[in-house]
Amino acid sequence: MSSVFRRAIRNLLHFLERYPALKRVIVNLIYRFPALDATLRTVAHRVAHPEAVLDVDVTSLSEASRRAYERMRAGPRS
Amino acid sequence: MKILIDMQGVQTESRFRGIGRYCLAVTRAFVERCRGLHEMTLLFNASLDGIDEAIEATAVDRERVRRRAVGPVRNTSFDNRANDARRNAAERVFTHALDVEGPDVVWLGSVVEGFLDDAIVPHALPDAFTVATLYDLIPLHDADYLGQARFRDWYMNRLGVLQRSDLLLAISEWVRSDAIDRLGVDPDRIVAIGAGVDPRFSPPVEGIDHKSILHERFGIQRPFVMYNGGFDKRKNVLALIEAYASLPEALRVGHTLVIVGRVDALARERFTDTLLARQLRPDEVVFTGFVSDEDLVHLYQACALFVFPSEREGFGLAPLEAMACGAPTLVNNATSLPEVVGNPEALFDACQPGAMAARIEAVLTDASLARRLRDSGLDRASHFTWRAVAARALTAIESRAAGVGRRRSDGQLQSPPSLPLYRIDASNVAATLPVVRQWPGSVFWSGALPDVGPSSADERFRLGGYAALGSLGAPSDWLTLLEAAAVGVVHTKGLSEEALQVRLETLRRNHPLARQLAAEQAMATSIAPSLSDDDLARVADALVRATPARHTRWLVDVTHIAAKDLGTGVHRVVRSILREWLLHPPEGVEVAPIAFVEGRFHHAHAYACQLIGVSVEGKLPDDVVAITGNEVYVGLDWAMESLPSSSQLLRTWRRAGVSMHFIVHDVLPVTMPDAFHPQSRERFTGWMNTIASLGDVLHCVSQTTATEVTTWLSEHKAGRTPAVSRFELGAETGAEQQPGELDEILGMAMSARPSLLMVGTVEPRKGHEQVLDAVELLWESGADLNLVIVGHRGWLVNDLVERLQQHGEKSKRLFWLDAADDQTLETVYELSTVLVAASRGEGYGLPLIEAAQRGKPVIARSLPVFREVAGDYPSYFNTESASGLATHIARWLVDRPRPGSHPAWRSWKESAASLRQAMENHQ
Repeated sequence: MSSVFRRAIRNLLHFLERYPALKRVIVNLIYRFPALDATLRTVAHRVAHPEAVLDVDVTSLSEASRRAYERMRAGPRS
Repeated sequence: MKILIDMQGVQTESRFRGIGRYCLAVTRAFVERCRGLHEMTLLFNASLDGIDEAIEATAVDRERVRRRAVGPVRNTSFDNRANDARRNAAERVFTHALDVEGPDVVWLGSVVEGFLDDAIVPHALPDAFTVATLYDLIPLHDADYLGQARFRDWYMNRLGVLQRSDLLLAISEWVRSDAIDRLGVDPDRIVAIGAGVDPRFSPPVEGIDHKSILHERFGIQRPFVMYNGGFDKRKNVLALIEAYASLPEALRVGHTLVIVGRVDALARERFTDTLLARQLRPDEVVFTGFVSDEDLVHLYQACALFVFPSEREGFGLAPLEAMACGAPTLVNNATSLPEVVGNPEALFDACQPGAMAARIEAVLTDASLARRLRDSGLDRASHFTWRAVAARALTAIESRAAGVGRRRSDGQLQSPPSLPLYRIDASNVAATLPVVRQWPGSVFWSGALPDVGPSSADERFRLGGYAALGSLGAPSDWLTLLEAAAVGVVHTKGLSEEALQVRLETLRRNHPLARQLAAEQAMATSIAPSLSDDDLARVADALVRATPARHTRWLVDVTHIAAKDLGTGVHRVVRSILREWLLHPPEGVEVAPIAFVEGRFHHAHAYACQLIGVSVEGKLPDDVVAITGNEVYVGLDWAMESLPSSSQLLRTWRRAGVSMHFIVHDVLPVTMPDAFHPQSRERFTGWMNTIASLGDVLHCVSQTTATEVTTWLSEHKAGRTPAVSRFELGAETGAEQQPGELDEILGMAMSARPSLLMVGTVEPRKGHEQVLDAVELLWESGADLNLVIVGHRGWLVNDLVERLQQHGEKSKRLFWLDAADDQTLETVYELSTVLVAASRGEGYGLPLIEAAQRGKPVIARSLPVFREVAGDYPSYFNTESASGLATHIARWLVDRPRPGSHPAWRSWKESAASLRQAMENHQ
């Protein structure tokens, strides 16, 4: 996520914090559209937790973790 | 008993509210109560905050409780349906983390988390006796709370966890009765443990001018009626404002209503409307907003009356705090509040119109009633201590958990994983081992061992780290490798088929790897297909790391020296100690050099092999460093360039239970700022701040440095400070070093006349200029001697360097070797007459010892650190003038006094052992 986008989202969230009545109206509206609701909540979570960049990803696993990953991806072994 | 406490209640937003405060206070008291009786571990969620604060808050006498962290697996909050698969996976990982070490008791500190945050609950009841704290069931009392379907689902899910738990610890008798009524909990399974009040909530002491403090902070000038707490509907604050507004005008003129707590904009709007409607003047009601605990105590101590009109409370911590501070206190006669105040005089019925106002008026106008309430409140509050709460919790747990054991693993686990069974003997072990690693199962071993042990670098490394790379393996090593990779190895010889099946079944139920594989299998079909590659990678990583490593690992940061060995004294220390540790690792410890590259720590295999002089064919296992909590990070090198980047990751390691040790070689940029570039000083100060906040222990190379570090910490660091210890450095005797070839002119010069030797980087504090001035005076007076300087060019020495390069005696009687290797230095030591240590500041003084080890006398400046490490061995001078030093050298050259006594000096082997000991003392 670009830093400009992240900043814009953060500013929007701060703005809504100052107007809780407006926030409630918007949240109630978005809540009626589950897919949009889920997407926006995911984006908001990413903005609120920049430390997540330190988490591992599929390219940076230790040997034991990679094996566990591969076993789960492969599914049960016949 | 082994007791594991889930600490998520102090990690979510709850940590700013009553639940978090309760959870932290009861854990701290419980840890203290259990010290020496039970083995405690705190389990944190790595996706959430608040770990650092909780670690410090639960430390008893600076001794921190063992901790682990699970995850992070983020984006699991219940509010977002897109998180469902991740949350299911995270809950299975969490359950595995709760089970894997086989605790006797698991205590879930707060299960009412995770709607808007990433807190999780176990997917199934843990194997251990499971205890959960019950704060209240207030949402079941008011339909408004459960109006939103998603929230209702989440709350019912949490109630399910509570209902399945073996024991509930209710925070009040009312909550206990409520749970029995509404959830149908068996009365034997729920115990009221109550709550406590922190000792800082105490009556006012003489000498504190509350009036001016409160006037200055909040503009409060008159006696006041106070409320502190939340502002949701059930808190009934509007009724309090209405009651206050209905007091007689004459009474209101002499008082103020003070409302303490963070009010959101919506509530503020409601309050403003009420104030206007009831024609209250703005100065009659003060909203303080959020206040610190210190201010809160002042407010409680100074108020004329504390009123708590809440309609429903699980406990009511605020009135208890007010009573403990000596405030006359009135509460609504509802739910748990009567049992908190324990005094009918302190109650009003908020449902009855005018009752609250009448009671407030009575207290404000009747001094004797106010005094009675104050006295009874103080007496009542004295019974509520966290120590008593912890004692009740422990009694409840001990009496019910003892003898229960790990139920499901002892025969009740429904579905042990279906695992492959490998029949292995000497003929197929080498070929089968990699398959066992990828698809672990149990091993039936039959027959004799192979004739030879494993020989590949990969297998040798797995067996004994770097030290094992150069050795030949024993045949029994194959079994060791199998044990590490498989779900147990069973020797079939002499066992019946039936006995083998029993052994197999036991392994599949109890082996930690079998438990991990069971979780993997459960997720492989149901959850993994719904997860992205990165999400599944995080789940796999969290699952694997939930099992603590078998051996403690010391992760030695070699980021800098592995990239470039500068040949400095610090790098010599790093090299020498690390080499010892790699070749002779402490018992039960794996030593792993690591380097920070592109945002992650990697194993520095190449550097480690080069350091101990082994060449490796093939790849060594593992690249990225994975943390399980059974590690120690060792900042042996300065790491000043990489630490600003790596510190964020190291902080997550610390939270996961990694203890942090840093070696401090000196603090000269702080004690001698003029001898360093402003940029270097700034970088050094940043480094000190980082290690002070990250480190558990700072190991200093001398007592002088340890004292300076302690002083710096006391002046610059508030709150938690790391422990400071000291270890002994070593020195080479020279016997192990082969002399090298010298430049012919230098060799002839050193053979022809006495030579003064200076060893160390050419930088301002080393005193080169003073020595050169002194030698010039000696040359002028006819003395015939050499000055030989060995050391790299440092900083802030342009004039000195120019002087050395342009000097008339250059390459005659003045020599500067700015790139000498160890062999050359050895020869120079051999040919020199005396070492001159003119430095004005050092962390240790390694050249003094190295010279002495080679039988060379030393002339040294009289520094405390030199006296500490070299004792009376050197001939000390104490002058800043060139002539004074020239006189001292001239006299020394004439008298040639015998060196005095010195402390016992250590070899690098002993030094490495000394640091190891210091580290072990602090674990």
